[in-house]
Amino acid sequence: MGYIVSTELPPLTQEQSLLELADFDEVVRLYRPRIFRFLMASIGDRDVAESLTQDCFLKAFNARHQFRGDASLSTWLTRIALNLLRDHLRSRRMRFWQKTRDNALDLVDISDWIPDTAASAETAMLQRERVKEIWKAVDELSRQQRMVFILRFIEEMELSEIAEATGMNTSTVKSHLYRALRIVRERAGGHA
Amino acid sequence: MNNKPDPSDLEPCGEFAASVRDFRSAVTHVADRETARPVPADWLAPARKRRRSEQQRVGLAWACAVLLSVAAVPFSSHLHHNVGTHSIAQTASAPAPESDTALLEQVDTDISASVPSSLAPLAELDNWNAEATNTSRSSSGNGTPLANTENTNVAQ
Repeated sequence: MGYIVSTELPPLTQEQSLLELADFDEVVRLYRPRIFRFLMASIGDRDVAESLTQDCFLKAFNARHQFRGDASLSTWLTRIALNLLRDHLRSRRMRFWQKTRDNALDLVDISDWIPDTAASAETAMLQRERVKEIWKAVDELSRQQRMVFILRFIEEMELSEIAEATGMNTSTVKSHLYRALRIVRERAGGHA
Repeated sequence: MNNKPDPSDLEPCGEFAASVRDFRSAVTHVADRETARPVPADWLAPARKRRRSEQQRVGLAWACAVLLSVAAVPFSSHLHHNVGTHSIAQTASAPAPESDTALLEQVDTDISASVPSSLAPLAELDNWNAEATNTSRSSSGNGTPLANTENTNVAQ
Protein backbone atom coordinates (compact mmCIF):
# COMPACT_ATOMS: atom_id res chain seq x y z
CA MET A 1 0.00 0.00 0.00
CA GLY A 2 1.81 3.10 -1.05
CA TYR A 3 1.14 3.93 -4.66
CA ILE A 4 -0.54 6.86 -6.29
CA VAL A 5 -3.62 5.76 -8.18
CA SER A 6 -6.07 7.77 -10.20
CA THR A 7 -9.81 7.52 -9.56
CA GLU A 8 -10.31 6.42 -13.17
CA LEU A 9 -10.44 2.62 -13.40
CA PRO A 10 -11.05 0.19 -16.25
CA PRO A 11 -13.99 -2.22 -15.69
CA LEU A 12 -13.12 -5.65 -14.31
CA THR A 13 -14.62 -9.06 -15.01
CA GLN A 14 -16.08 -11.19 -12.22
CA GLU A 15 -13.06 -13.48 -12.12
CA GLN A 16 -10.72 -10.53 -12.01
CA SER A 17 -12.72 -9.06 -9.12
CA LEU A 18 -12.51 -12.28 -7.13
CA LEU A 19 -8.82 -12.62 -7.78
CA GLU A 20 -8.30 -8.99 -6.94
CA LEU A 21 -10.09 -9.33 -3.64
CA ALA A 22 -7.54 -11.93 -2.55
CA ASP A 23 -4.94 -9.17 -2.44
CA PHE A 24 -6.67 -6.65 -0.26
CA ASP A 25 -3.83 -4.16 -0.29
CA GLU A 26 -4.27 -3.97 -4.01
CA VAL A 27 -8.01 -3.44 -3.59
CA VAL A 28 -7.34 -0.51 -1.28
CA ARG A 29 -4.76 0.90 -3.63
CA LEU A 30 -7.06 0.73 -6.63
CA TYR A 31 -10.42 1.68 -5.16
CA ARG A 32 -9.62 4.03 -2.30
CA PRO A 33 -9.48 7.18 -4.47
CA ARG A 34 -12.78 6.35 -6.10
CA ILE A 35 -14.62 5.59 -2.87
CA PHE A 36 -13.12 8.69 -1.28
CA ARG A 37 -14.24 10.81 -4.24
CA PHE A 38 -17.80 9.51 -4.03
CA LEU A 39 -17.97 10.11 -0.27
CA MET A 40 -16.36 13.53 -0.46
CA ALA A 41 -18.74 14.60 -3.23
CA SER A 42 -21.67 13.31 -1.17
CA ILE A 43 -20.69 14.90 2.14
CA GLY A 44 -18.36 17.72 1.19
CA ASP A 45 -16.18 17.03 4.21
CA ARG A 46 -12.66 15.70 3.70
CA ASP A 47 -12.17 14.28 7.21
CA VAL A 48 -15.51 12.50 7.33
CA ALA A 49 -14.98 11.19 3.81
CA GLU A 50 -11.58 9.79 4.84
CA SER A 51 -13.02 8.16 7.97
CA LEU A 52 -15.90 6.64 6.03
CA THR A 53 -13.49 5.40 3.36
CA GLN A 54 -11.48 3.62 6.05
CA ASP A 55 -14.68 2.17 7.53
CA CYS A 56 -15.75 1.04 4.08
CA PHE A 57 -12.55 -0.90 3.44
CA LEU A 58 -12.51 -2.39 6.93
CA LYS A 59 -16.07 -3.59 6.43
CA ALA A 60 -15.18 -4.94 3.00
CA PHE A 61 -12.15 -6.72 4.46
CA ASN A 62 -14.24 -8.32 7.21
CA ALA A 63 -16.92 -9.36 4.72
CA ARG A 64 -14.63 -10.27 1.85
CA HIS A 65 -15.61 -13.97 2.06
CA GLN A 66 -19.23 -13.02 1.42
CA PHE A 67 -18.41 -11.42 -1.91
CA ARG A 68 -19.52 -13.83 -4.62
CA GLY A 69 -18.75 -11.72 -7.64
CA ASP A 70 -22.40 -11.27 -8.64
CA ALA A 71 -21.80 -7.54 -8.89
CA SER A 72 -18.53 -5.86 -9.75
CA LEU A 73 -16.12 -5.14 -6.95
CA SER A 74 -16.63 -1.45 -7.54
CA THR A 75 -20.41 -1.77 -7.18
CA TRP A 76 -20.01 -3.88 -4.03
CA LEU A 77 -17.69 -1.33 -2.44
CA THR A 78 -20.03 1.48 -3.49
CA ARG A 79 -22.91 -0.32 -1.84
CA ILE A 80 -20.94 -0.58 1.42
CA ALA A 81 -20.02 3.10 1.16
CA LEU A 82 -23.67 4.00 0.57
CA ASN A 83 -24.74 2.14 3.70
CA LEU A 84 -22.06 3.87 5.75
CA LEU A 85 -23.05 7.21 4.28
CA ARG A 86 -26.70 6.62 5.17
CA ASP A 87 -25.77 5.66 8.75
CA HIS A 88 -23.54 8.69 9.03
CA LEU A 89 -26.20 11.10 7.78
CA ARG A 90 -28.73 9.56 10.15
CA SER A 91 -26.44 9.90 13.15
CA ARG A 92 -25.50 13.44 12.10
CA ARG A 93 -29.17 14.34 12.06
CA MET A 94 -29.44 12.99 15.59
CA ARG A 95 -26.39 14.94 16.73
CA PHE A 96 -27.66 18.20 15.34
CA TRP A 97 -25.71 20.25 17.86
CA GLN A 98 -22.43 18.90 16.58
CA LYS A 99 -20.69 21.07 14.03
CA THR A 100 -19.92 18.37 11.53
CA ARG A 101 -19.25 20.72 8.68
CA ASP A 102 -16.41 22.61 10.32
CA ASN A 103 -13.86 20.99 8.06
CA ALA A 104 -16.12 20.91 5.03
CA LEU A 105 -14.53 21.86 1.79
CA ASP A 106 -15.43 25.37 0.86
CA LEU A 107 -17.15 25.67 -2.48
CA VAL A 108 -14.63 28.31 -3.54
CA ASP A 109 -11.79 25.98 -2.67
CA ILE A 110 -13.05 23.19 -4.86
CA SER A 111 -13.70 25.49 -7.76
CA ASP A 112 -10.13 26.79 -7.45
CA TRP A 113 -8.81 23.33 -8.23
CA ILE A 114 -10.09 22.99 -11.73
CA PRO A 115 -7.27 21.33 -13.62
CA ASP A 116 -7.50 23.46 -16.70
CA THR A 117 -4.36 25.47 -17.03
CA ALA A 118 -4.76 26.11 -20.75
CA ALA A 119 -7.91 28.19 -20.32
CA SER A 120 -7.80 31.95 -20.30
CA ALA A 121 -8.35 33.80 -17.06
CA GLU A 122 -11.87 34.73 -18.10
CA THR A 123 -12.76 31.16 -19.09
CA ALA A 124 -11.26 29.78 -15.87
CA MET A 125 -13.27 32.26 -13.83
CA LEU A 126 -16.43 31.28 -15.70
CA GLN A 127 -15.68 27.60 -15.09
CA ARG A 128 -15.18 28.24 -11.39
CA GLU A 129 -18.49 30.06 -11.22
CA ARG A 130 -20.25 27.17 -12.94
CA VAL A 131 -18.71 24.59 -10.63
CA LYS A 132 -19.68 26.65 -7.60
CA GLU A 133 -23.26 26.86 -8.79
CA ILE A 134 -23.47 23.19 -9.70
CA TRP A 135 -22.11 22.06 -6.36
CA LYS A 136 -24.41 24.39 -4.47
CA ALA A 137 -27.35 23.03 -6.44
CA VAL A 138 -26.24 19.42 -5.87
CA ASP A 139 -25.84 20.10 -2.16
CA GLU A 140 -29.44 21.25 -1.99
CA LEU A 141 -30.83 18.10 -3.61
CA SER A 142 -32.61 15.47 -1.56
CA ARG A 143 -30.40 12.66 -0.28
CA GLN A 144 -31.49 10.16 -2.92
CA GLN A 145 -31.40 12.64 -5.78
CA ARG A 146 -27.89 13.73 -4.80
CA MET A 147 -26.75 10.12 -4.47
CA VAL A 148 -28.05 9.20 -7.92
CA PHE A 149 -26.67 12.38 -9.49
CA ILE A 150 -23.19 11.79 -8.05
CA LEU A 151 -23.14 8.12 -8.99
CA ARG A 152 -24.18 8.96 -12.54
CA PHE A 153 -22.16 12.06 -13.30
CA ILE A 154 -19.16 11.82 -10.96
CA GLU A 155 -18.71 8.06 -10.82
CA GLU A 156 -20.12 7.65 -14.33
CA MET A 157 -21.98 4.49 -13.38
CA GLU A 158 -24.63 3.00 -15.64
CA LEU A 159 -28.26 3.20 -14.49
CA SER A 160 -28.35 -0.56 -13.91
CA GLU A 161 -25.22 -0.34 -11.75
CA ILE A 162 -26.73 2.51 -9.74
CA ALA A 163 -29.87 0.45 -9.26
CA GLU A 164 -27.76 -2.48 -8.08
CA ALA A 165 -25.69 -0.38 -5.70
CA THR A 166 -28.59 1.55 -4.21
CA GLY A 167 -31.12 -1.28 -4.13
CA MET A 168 -33.64 0.78 -6.10
CA ASN A 169 -35.23 -0.39 -9.30
CA THR A 170 -34.09 1.20 -12.53
CA SER A 171 -37.25 3.26 -13.07
CA THR A 172 -36.88 4.81 -9.61
CA VAL A 173 -33.27 5.65 -10.40
CA LYS A 174 -34.42 7.28 -13.64
CA SER A 175 -37.04 9.33 -11.82
CA HIS A 176 -34.53 10.56 -9.22
CA LEU A 177 -32.01 11.35 -11.92
CA TYR A 178 -34.56 13.20 -14.03
CA ARG A 179 -35.66 15.34 -11.09
CA ALA A 180 -32.11 15.92 -9.91
CA LEU A 181 -31.04 17.07 -13.36
CA ARG A 182 -34.02 19.37 -13.71
CA ILE A 183 -33.41 20.94 -10.29
CA VAL A 184 -29.68 21.37 -10.82
CA ARG A 185 -30.27 22.86 -14.25
CA GLU A 186 -32.80 25.31 -12.84
CA ARG A 187 -30.72 26.26 -9.82
CA ALA A 188 -27.42 26.44 -11.62
CA GLY A 189 -28.83 29.58 -13.09
CA GLY A 190 -28.86 30.14 -16.80
CA HIS A 191 -26.15 27.70 -17.79
CA ALA A 192 -28.55 25.17 -19.24
CA MET B 1 -42.72 7.79 -9.65
CA ASN B 2 -45.31 7.24 -12.33
CA ASN B 3 -43.83 9.65 -14.83
CA LYS B 4 -41.46 7.96 -17.21
CA PRO B 5 -38.69 10.37 -18.15
CA ASP B 6 -37.48 10.49 -21.68
CA PRO B 7 -33.96 8.99 -21.95
CA SER B 8 -32.77 12.23 -23.50
CA ASP B 9 -33.87 14.04 -20.32
CA LEU B 10 -31.44 11.92 -18.29
CA GLU B 11 -28.36 13.43 -19.86
CA PRO B 12 -27.30 17.06 -19.58
CA CYS B 13 -26.84 18.87 -22.85
CA GLY B 14 -25.17 21.97 -24.18
CA GLU B 15 -23.57 24.36 -21.77
CA PHE B 16 -25.08 22.54 -18.80
CA ALA B 17 -23.25 19.36 -19.82
CA ALA B 18 -20.00 21.32 -19.88
CA SER B 19 -20.73 22.62 -16.38
CA VAL B 20 -21.36 19.08 -15.12
CA ARG B 21 -18.09 17.94 -16.71
CA ASP B 22 -16.24 20.79 -15.03
CA PHE B 23 -17.84 19.81 -11.74
CA ARG B 24 -16.67 16.25 -12.18
CA SER B 25 -13.17 17.43 -13.05
CA ALA B 26 -13.02 19.57 -9.92
CA VAL B 27 -14.21 16.79 -7.61
CA THR B 28 -11.91 14.24 -9.23
CA HIS B 29 -8.97 16.60 -8.97
CA VAL B 30 -9.61 17.16 -5.26
CA ALA B 31 -10.04 13.45 -4.60
CA ASP B 32 -6.88 12.54 -6.50
CA ARG B 33 -4.94 15.16 -4.62
CA GLU B 34 -6.26 14.02 -1.25
CA THR B 35 -5.53 10.37 -1.90
CA ALA B 36 -2.20 10.95 -3.59
CA ARG B 37 -0.30 10.38 -0.37
CA PRO B 38 0.86 6.80 0.14
CA VAL B 39 -1.42 4.66 2.23
CA PRO B 40 0.28 3.98 5.57
CA ALA B 41 0.49 0.44 6.86
CA ASP B 42 -1.84 1.17 9.73
CA TRP B 43 -4.34 3.05 7.58
CA LEU B 44 -7.25 0.94 8.82
CA ALA B 45 -6.23 1.25 12.49
CA PRO B 46 -8.52 4.24 13.20
CA ALA B 47 -11.42 2.39 11.60
CA ARG B 48 -10.71 -0.65 13.80
CA LYS B 49 -10.56 1.59 16.85
CA ARG B 50 -13.88 3.22 15.93
CA ARG B 51 -15.40 -0.18 15.39
CA ARG B 52 -14.20 -1.43 18.78
CA SER B 53 -15.48 1.65 20.59
CA GLU B 54 -18.80 1.32 18.74
CA GLN B 55 -19.02 -2.32 19.83
CA GLN B 56 -18.17 -1.27 23.39
CA ARG B 57 -20.89 1.39 23.29
CA VAL B 58 -23.42 -1.12 22.06
CA GLY B 59 -22.30 -3.60 24.72
CA LEU B 60 -22.56 -0.97 27.41
CA ALA B 61 -26.02 0.01 26.24
CA TRP B 62 -27.11 -3.63 26.39
CA ALA B 63 -25.59 -4.06 29.84
CA CYS B 64 -27.42 -0.96 31.08
CA ALA B 65 -30.65 -2.24 29.60
CA VAL B 66 -30.21 -5.63 31.28
CA LEU B 67 -29.33 -3.99 34.63
CA LEU B 68 -32.36 -1.75 34.43
CA SER B 69 -34.56 -4.72 33.63
CA VAL B 70 -33.13 -6.71 36.54
CA ALA B 71 -33.62 -3.75 38.87
CA ALA B 72 -37.13 -3.22 37.63
CA VAL B 73 -38.27 -6.80 38.34
CA PRO B 74 -38.16 -6.62 42.21
CA PHE B 75 -39.62 -3.14 42.15
CA SER B 76 -42.40 -4.28 39.89
CA SER B 77 -43.13 -7.36 42.00
CA HIS B 78 -43.07 -5.21 45.17
CA LEU B 79 -45.48 -2.78 43.58
CA HIS B 80 -47.68 -5.63 42.44
CA HIS B 81 -47.62 -7.14 45.95
CA ASN B 82 -48.62 -3.81 47.52
CA VAL B 83 -51.45 -3.36 45.10
CA GLY B 84 -52.62 -6.92 45.86
CA THR B 85 -52.55 -6.41 49.64
CA HIS B 86 -54.36 -3.14 49.33
CA SER B 87 -57.09 -4.66 47.24
CA ILE B 88 -57.44 -7.59 49.67
CA ALA B 89 -57.72 -5.17 52.60
CA GLN B 90 -60.29 -3.17 50.74
CA THR B 91 -62.27 -6.28 50.03
CA ALA B 92 -62.12 -7.36 53.69
CA SER B 93 -63.17 -4.00 55.11
CA ALA B 94 -66.01 -3.54 52.69
CA PRO B 95 -69.44 -4.40 54.23
CA ALA B 96 -71.01 -7.51 52.89
CA PRO B 97 -73.96 -6.79 50.73
CA GLU B 98 -77.15 -7.37 52.74
CA SER B 99 -80.63 -7.57 51.46
CA ASP B 100 -83.30 -5.18 52.76
CA THR B 101 -85.48 -8.05 54.01
CA ALA B 102 -82.69 -9.52 56.12
CA LEU B 103 -81.90 -6.10 57.59
CA LEU B 104 -85.55 -5.50 58.53
CA GLU B 105 -85.76 -8.90 60.12
CA GLN B 106 -82.66 -8.19 62.19
CA VAL B 107 -84.18 -4.87 63.35
CA ASP B 108 -87.44 -6.60 64.29
CA THR B 109 -85.54 -9.23 66.26
CA ASP B 110 -83.56 -6.59 68.14
CA ILE B 111 -86.68 -4.61 69.05
CA SER B 112 -88.67 -7.60 70.11
CA ALA B 113 -85.92 -8.95 72.34
CA SER B 114 -87.00 -9.38 75.93
CA VAL B 115 -85.78 -6.82 78.42
CA PRO B 116 -83.29 -8.22 80.93
CA SER B 117 -84.63 -8.42 84.52
CA SER B 118 -82.13 -5.90 85.82
CA LEU B 119 -83.65 -3.28 83.50
CA ALA B 120 -87.28 -4.12 84.31
CA PRO B 121 -87.94 -0.95 86.46
CA LEU B 122 -86.72 1.23 83.57
CA ALA B 123 -88.98 -0.63 81.22
CA GLU B 124 -91.95 0.04 83.53
CA LEU B 125 -91.08 3.73 83.61
CA ASP B 126 -90.93 3.68 79.85
CA ASN B 127 -94.39 2.14 79.71
CA TRP B 128 -95.74 4.83 82.04
CA ASN B 129 -94.28 7.53 79.82
CA ALA B 130 -95.88 5.96 76.80
CA GLU B 131 -99.28 5.87 78.49
CA ALA B 132 -98.94 9.50 79.60
CA THR B 133 -98.11 10.55 76.05
CA ASN B 134 -101.17 8.77 74.69
CA THR B 135 -103.40 10.42 77.27
CA SER B 136 -102.05 13.90 76.56
CA ARG B 137 -102.43 13.36 72.82
CA SER B 138 -106.05 12.39 73.23
CA SER B 139 -106.77 15.50 75.37
CA SER B 140 -104.53 17.99 73.48
CA GLY B 141 -107.40 19.12 71.20
CA ASN B 142 -109.42 20.59 74.17
CA GLY B 143 -106.70 21.80 76.57
CA THR B 144 -105.34 25.31 77.07
CA PRO B 145 -101.96 26.23 75.55
CA LEU B 146 -100.36 26.02 79.01
CA ALA B 147 -101.72 22.56 79.57
CA ASN B 148 -100.53 21.45 76.13
CA THR B 149 -96.98 22.64 76.83
CA GLU B 150 -97.05 20.82 80.14
CA ASN B 151 -98.22 17.65 78.49
CA THR B 152 -95.48 17.90 75.84
CA ASN B 153 -92.83 18.29 78.51
CA VAL B 154 -94.15 15.29 80.37
CA ALA B 155 -94.15 13.28 77.19
CA GLN B 156 -90.54 14.18 76.48
